[in-house]
Amino acid sequence: MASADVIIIGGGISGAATALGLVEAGAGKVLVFDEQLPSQRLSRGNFGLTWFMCKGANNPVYASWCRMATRQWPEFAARLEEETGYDIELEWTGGAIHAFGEEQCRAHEQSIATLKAACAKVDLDYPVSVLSRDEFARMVPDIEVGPDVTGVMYTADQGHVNPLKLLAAVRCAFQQKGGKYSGGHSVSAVVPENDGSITVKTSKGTYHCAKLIIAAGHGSQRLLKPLGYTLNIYPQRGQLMVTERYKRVLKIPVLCTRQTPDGTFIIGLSTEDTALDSGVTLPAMKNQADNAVRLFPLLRKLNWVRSWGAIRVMTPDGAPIYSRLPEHQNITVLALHSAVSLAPLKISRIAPWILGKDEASQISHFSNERFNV
Amino acid sequence: MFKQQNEQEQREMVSVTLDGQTLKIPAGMSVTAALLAIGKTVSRISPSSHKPCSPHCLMGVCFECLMEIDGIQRQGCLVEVQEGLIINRRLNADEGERS
Repeated sequence: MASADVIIIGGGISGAATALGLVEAGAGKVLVFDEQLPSQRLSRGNFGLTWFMCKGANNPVYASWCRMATRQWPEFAARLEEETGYDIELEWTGGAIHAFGEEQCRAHEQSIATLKAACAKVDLDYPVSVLSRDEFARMVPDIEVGPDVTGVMYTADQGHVNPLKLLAAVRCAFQQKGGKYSGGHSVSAVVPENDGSITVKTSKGTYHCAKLIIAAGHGSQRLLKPLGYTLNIYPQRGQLMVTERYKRVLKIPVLCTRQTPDGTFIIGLSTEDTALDSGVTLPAMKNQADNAVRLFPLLRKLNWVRSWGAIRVMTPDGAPIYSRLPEHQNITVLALHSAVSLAPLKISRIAPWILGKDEASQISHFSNERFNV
Repeated sequence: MFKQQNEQEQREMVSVTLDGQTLKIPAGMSVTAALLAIGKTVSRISPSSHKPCSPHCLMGVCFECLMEIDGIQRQGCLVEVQEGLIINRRLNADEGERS
């Protein structure tokens, strides 16, 4: 039987970044088993924002967690690029959410006031403001801003990234540092042993480890159920569509529309309760295309070349789950959306916590048990 | 580089305007295939790399043969050749907003 110090089930952005953090922290022999299910492509299907704005309005701990993550992003990206040679295309060009009409502008003002107050309670600033239509138009001089846009909520302290290259770079760095990544590798059972170790039964044999991390998205439930444990997560679909490449005219990502350095516009802002169906629908795409064209009329004349759906791992309060199983403290579960934005914290905060070296004050607020009241 | 499968076959040739020049291309196939057939292997200039692109798939998937046909930017492989088409590939870097 093969053995390891740590096994991670799930090689998406969260699993792979945690694995990287673990090898860097000297966790010993670390293995990642990635099933690569066609239905579970959330680390590939996402929008690619590194974002904190608007997150945590009713949860200051989550707000501070998101802010901490984005603050670490530029250095995290620079280090990944230096170590792996991947250009993950991070652009630290801020971020905006548009408003159509005065009512939406006032809602933006209100949201900012709420989050400023929430962040102040944990000694955190919230550097977000509402810009007028003209102020925003001057920031994106190469693209026409639609006549219905009345203003935007804006921060300079975030950006966007190529999530595919991020995933590749994180896995690459993990393997460069001695970690073992195994793709097409399914786990069928997790069996805690009496001596405190864990047996992991897989499609490629049985393994033995001292610590286990389950970061398998919606696949985690199947592994946890025999242990009498249920994660408080549900599937939420987002649909995305991309246009043909066009000369670079938009450098600031907007929540529903961004242009990549390759010239592609990515459009997407849908949330649907569709279980694990990752398909696309005409009404949702029409709705977000209408919205994007209203924001940037140029998009009307571009060809739409691809679309896809991806399934978020959503929690009842929207914040992540980082939990040790109460009866098996050496099994940790990670279940979250926004894995791109939160990726740096997997290395700086989650890996040290898993190893029992250091626990960031926020982590205890993100236990799965918070929902069991 | 590209040859007709049956060289004996005499295809009908029709006149189109390609990048401002009138020329004959074979009918009964897509614009992209017809341009390949007369040796025009560059379909567009990439807006990101600014390098020449050639068609990959000829079946509507790769979008490498996007070109302006009768005023609309579209995939040449999905448009059948017709007499009088006006086709602009905009191969010069300073030509048009897509390049």
